Amino acid sequence: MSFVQNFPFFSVILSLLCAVTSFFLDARWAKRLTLFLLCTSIGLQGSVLSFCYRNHMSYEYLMGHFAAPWGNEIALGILEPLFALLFATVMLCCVLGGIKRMERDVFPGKQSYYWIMVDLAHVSLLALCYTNDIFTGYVFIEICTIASCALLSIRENGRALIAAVRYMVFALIGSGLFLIGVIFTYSITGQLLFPQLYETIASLWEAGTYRFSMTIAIGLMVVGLAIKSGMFPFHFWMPDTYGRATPASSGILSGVISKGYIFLLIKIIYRVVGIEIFAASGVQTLLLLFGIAGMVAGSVSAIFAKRLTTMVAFSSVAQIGYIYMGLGMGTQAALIAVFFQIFSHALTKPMLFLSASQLANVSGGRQDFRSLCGAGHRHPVAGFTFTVGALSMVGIPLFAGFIPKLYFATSAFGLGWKTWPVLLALAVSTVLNVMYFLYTTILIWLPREEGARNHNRVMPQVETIVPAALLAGFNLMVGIHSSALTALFTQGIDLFCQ
Amino acid sequence: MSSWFLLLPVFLPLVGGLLSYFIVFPSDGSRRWFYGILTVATTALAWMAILRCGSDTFILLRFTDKLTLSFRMDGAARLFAGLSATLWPVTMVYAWDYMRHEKHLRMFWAFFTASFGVTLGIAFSANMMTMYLFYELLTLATLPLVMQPMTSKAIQAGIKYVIYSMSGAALAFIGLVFVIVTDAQDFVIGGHLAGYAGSRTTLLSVFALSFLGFGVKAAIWPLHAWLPAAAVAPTPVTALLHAVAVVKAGAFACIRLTYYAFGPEAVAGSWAQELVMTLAIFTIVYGSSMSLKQQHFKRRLAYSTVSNLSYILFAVSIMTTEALTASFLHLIYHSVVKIMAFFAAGAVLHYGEREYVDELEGLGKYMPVTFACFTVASCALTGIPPFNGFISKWYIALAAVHTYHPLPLLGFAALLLSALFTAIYMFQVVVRAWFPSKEGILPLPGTVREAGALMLVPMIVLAAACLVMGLFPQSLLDLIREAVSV
Amino acid sequence: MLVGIILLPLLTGLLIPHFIPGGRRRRFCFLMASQIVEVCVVTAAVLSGRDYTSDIWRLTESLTIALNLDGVAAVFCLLTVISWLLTLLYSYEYMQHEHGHEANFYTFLFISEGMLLGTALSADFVSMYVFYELTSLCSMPLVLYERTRKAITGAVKYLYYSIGGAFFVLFGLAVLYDNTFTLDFLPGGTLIPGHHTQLVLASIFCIILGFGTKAGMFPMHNWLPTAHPVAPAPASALLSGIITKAGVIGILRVIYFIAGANRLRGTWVQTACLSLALFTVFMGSMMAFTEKNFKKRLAYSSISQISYVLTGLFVLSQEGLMGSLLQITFHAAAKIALFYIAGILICLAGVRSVERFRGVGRRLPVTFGCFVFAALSLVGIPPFGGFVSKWYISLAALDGLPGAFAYLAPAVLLLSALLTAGYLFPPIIRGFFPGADLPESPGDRLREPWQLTVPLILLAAVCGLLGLFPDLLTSVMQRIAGAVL
Repeated sequence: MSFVQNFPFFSVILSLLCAVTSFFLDARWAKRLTLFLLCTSIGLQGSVLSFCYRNHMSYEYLMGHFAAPWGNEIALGILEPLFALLFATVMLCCVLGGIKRMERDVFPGKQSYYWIMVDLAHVSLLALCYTNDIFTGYVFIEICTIASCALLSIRENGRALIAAVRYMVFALIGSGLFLIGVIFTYSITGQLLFPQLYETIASLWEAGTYRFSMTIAIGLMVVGLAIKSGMFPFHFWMPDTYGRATPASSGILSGVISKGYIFLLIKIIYRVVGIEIFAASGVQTLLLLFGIAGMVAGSVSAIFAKRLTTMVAFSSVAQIGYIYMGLGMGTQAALIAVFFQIFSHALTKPMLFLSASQLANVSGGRQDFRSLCGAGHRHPVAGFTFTVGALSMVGIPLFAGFIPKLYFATSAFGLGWKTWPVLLALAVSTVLNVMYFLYTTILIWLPREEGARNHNRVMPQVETIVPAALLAGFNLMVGIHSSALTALFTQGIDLFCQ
Repeated sequence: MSSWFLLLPVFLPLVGGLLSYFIVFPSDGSRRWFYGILTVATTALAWMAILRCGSDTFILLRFTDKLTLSFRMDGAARLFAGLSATLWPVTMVYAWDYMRHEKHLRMFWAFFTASFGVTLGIAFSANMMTMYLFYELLTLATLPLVMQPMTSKAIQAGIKYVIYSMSGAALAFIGLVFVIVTDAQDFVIGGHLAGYAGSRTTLLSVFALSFLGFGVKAAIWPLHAWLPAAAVAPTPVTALLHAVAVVKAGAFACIRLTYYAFGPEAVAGSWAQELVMTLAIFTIVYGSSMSLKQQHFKRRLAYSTVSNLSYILFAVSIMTTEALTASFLHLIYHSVVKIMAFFAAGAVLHYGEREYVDELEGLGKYMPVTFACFTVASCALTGIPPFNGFISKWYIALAAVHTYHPLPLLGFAALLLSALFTAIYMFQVVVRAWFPSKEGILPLPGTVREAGALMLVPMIVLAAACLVMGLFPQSLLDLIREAVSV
Repeated sequence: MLVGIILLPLLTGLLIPHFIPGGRRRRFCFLMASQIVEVCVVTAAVLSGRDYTSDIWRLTESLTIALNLDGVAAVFCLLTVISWLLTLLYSYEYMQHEHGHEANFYTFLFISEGMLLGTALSADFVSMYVFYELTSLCSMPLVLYERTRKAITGAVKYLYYSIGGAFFVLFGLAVLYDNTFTLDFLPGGTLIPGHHTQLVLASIFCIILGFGTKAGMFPMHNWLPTAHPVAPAPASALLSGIITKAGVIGILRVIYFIAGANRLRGTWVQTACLSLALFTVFMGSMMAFTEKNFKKRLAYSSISQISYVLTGLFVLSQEGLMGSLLQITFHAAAKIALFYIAGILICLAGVRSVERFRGVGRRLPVTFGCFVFAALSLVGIPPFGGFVSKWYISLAALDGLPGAFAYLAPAVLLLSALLTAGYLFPPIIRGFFPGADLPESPGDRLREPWQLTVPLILLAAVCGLLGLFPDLLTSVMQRIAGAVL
């Protein structure tokens, strides 16, 4: 047992400690503590990842000394630390990029709460990535929900509060449904840990008993997580929520937290239910259909959006739809595509939210499209990163967004009746994405004379440039050198689905 | 010479062009020197590559072990690159005069030069992935050029252009993925999929969709509407991009798709071929008829381009080697003729300040060289010997007739009908300019000047080229025949 | 040598009208000199009996430009250069009454001559196509000389019809390329037997329709009545008399030198073409009968008369061919004379419509005298020239055509002759005998300049003399026709 293998446990404890400590600190120190936590977390996950990759191993780690079924454990191979690393990095960038804005938006006395919530969000994401126990999963889902609601409502602006409340309602419904599913599962199988659940469910399904209840349970869990991550038709909370929150929060929520839920969902599909049973239950096909519907509906709504951040939020609906379509396809190649999509969207969406808010800043704080004319000339860095994000969303080669599209399409061939709906959905979705993303990109780069307002050129500050540029850089890196990631994913999936 | 050399003519203008956006030029002259040297250097590099480069593949980037970004010089690349590399400096000279009084010059020149590199990138692509990448980049690089006047009409035209082009790319993407999945993506004459063992319906459907997708840039009906809208762009843009670079890149991509990736044997004789051929035939007639009705000079020429591009696509859809030769021939000839026609229209716009065809009465007297060149363009476009248009129509005709199937013969008849329409809408201008009616409104002396030397010289050179190519077609024909068999 | 025949008028047209200083008269002398030289050269070439050929240009391995002087070409070239000479003389005086850019007129006149000679002298189909297109293009400016809206419309219509016809020809040409041994003109044809017969027949029909546009065959005849009234008289004369014959020569070459008469005899192509030609013969005369504008009446008359030629061609026999060649000659002579007359009437008496002919004959006696000769020849009354040609055509039809056509053709020709008389004789009669009930006195005798009347008299003489003594001409034509079939 190498020392490195303890790191996940360390990071969880560290995060909890930081969260508690921040309660007693003032805003400035809380901020520094959170930043320190995130950086350390990145380092820790990175080390674990390289360890597992070099040794090509996965392992389970008992938390406490109680054996199953009462004890708690985490399990990880290559994928879990990889995604945890991704989440931590993106959170760091979001937080850094959105600090100035947050400090403006949030009442000074409340700012330390913000940092506590960030820590809590971070720890729940780590848990969602690593957990091997379904009830722990539920617990941290709830913690995450509370943290997200806090992150959203901290802005205390009228519409933001309404949006946060709406989010809370939906999120709690989702968690509630998930909990019911967990309870059903527990009562049928008597197990809580993933490996044991897997065996029990498999044998039950073989035997043919409890099939219907099992399907309901699976369905409930899936729907619960789907609501929380914004699958069509449960996405109605998303636009306002993301659209009205402070950019750092929008970034964290859309880029990271929703992905955390999805990752948990993937773990449940592959490690709890098992892919064959999942396919046989018919839920897989439903995911495919809803995913495709989301791709189209999200983009169509984005075309008609009146505000920039609302448009970006609807775009998230569409992008999540891609993920569900991929899960609905069910093959390993599709799964690689799904992972790429998670990566790409996690890197791109926060960048878009950050740039969007900066562009709005230099347009008199307004977000309607007329005011945004020429905003790119007023804040070139934001314009540049927005362009990178837009091109990535459309799926231009060399950008991160192209890779998942490519893999989705490649894996679509040979799937029987699913091939053409997937291909056509990809094509239609690309066209729709062009219609609003490239339209907006053109708009922000129109020459200054056409702009509705004339504002002074804002000299971009380092704190706002660096995170966005970092994210843009990552985006391009993924787009150009995807083979490294592909290798990681392939190996990781091997270890993931034994 | 090894293939890494191919990177130079592609990336020099691309990177140089984009970076030059940030340079502030002290004077017009210095700007001309800079871009002149950059463009001529690129042309020189391109021609060196065409003449000396070997046919090995250079891999720039590896996405996966199968998916690479690679460059290679083959016969088709030689033809398309040679065409682009020759016409770009000519247009640049023309643009020096034309763009003098326009705004947003930094953006124009930067992206004008960058598009050069991207077009060469399309020419030198060794596989479908590379071509797709540069295809998408071409849309992005030419978008600012289309919107250059920055009037609301221009912006709308640009948005229309980008939506159509990207939609086409989205359809073509399906083809890209299919050839990746079937290991057919390296460009080899004759293609890979002749012996495809899987579902024929899938193969044909993918082919039809991708042809349509690439055909968007080649203005196939019903996805052609961006081209006439883009006529609001400044004339050097319309001339070069919508007579040469963008539209011929679309046609070139269709050629690569049909003959070098899928392979004619895979698709010939199927419903997909008939569908594609029917659309091309329809576009041929549709484009010409729309030209007849157009009173706006440049838009008339734009619809004429729509029609002529489908001559090429029609030839491509015939799917024999003879037809491939004919399509390359028309690709090259039409570019030269159409660019000259647009130059003339631009000169009339700029120096005569006239945009509409019914205002052109009697201009031949005041702008004799311009209209002489336009007359040459009219004869060539209609297909009157001894100009080059006749030769390319002849070879397309032969290729169509030799199939002895009804649909290509119908296409040939449609081509002739379109040629008659071409005669009508081109000679209407010629007759009006040279033989004004006594009852017409003639321009007042002194209001119309002949175009400047920087505009005239390119036109004259191109007109001479039309005549020379019409009188000595054999050498080019041999070159093309050799190119398509390698 | 043959290149020279084409180049001389070409260079004359390009250079002389624009670069010779010193006024109209001086320029005219140069032009006249050039044309006389041309006539001499052509006559010499024809009479020498040598077989001239030359390869001018090789475009690609399948497309070449080559010239050859054979019997048919000789007839046509001689007709062309002589008509051009006469018209040049006529136009010197006539154009003084017109307003426009005279220099441009002569430029295009001579260039058209060059291109026309090229069409006649072409040794293969592709060369003929090239020269044919260029002829259409270069003769168009002749029509719009007056620059009125109507003139421009007429010219442009002519151009579009010609180009449309040329494209019909191109369709057939492309099909025939693969289905003939060679596209060179060889008597007896070059078709590969048994190769895609129906398609080849259809393409030949297309070609005939295409060339028929120039020759005014229904249904592509519509440009003639529009173009002729608006063109200046010398241009109309040449257009009707010679340039339309370019279409005829095209049809001739295709039938006898590419397809071969034997291949076409009895096919649906022959039937269809005969029907169209006969219908045109009738229709043209009918329309001429009802038309009041004199030049337009002559235009319709041309449509009808040229279809006599076509009928003779479509009989596909040696006699028919001979008749056609004779008809070409005599129609050219008569029609050019008639257009000269129309021009004189317009510029000297200001009369355009047939209704105003009353008494004009008295004022222009020489003119109307020649009118009588030309009209009699056109109707086909012996002993005038037109009778000879129509006689041979009718005879050929009776002998060579199957079934009903054998009787239908001569009947239609006869009917048309009656109609021709109907539209030509009354104006003459009215001209000489205006009737006692004329409201005002017609006017005094007008001066008829010699430049206008001499060509007229010469042509009238041809109609008369060659009709009286046709043997030389008929034997020559017979020999030529024999060489072809």
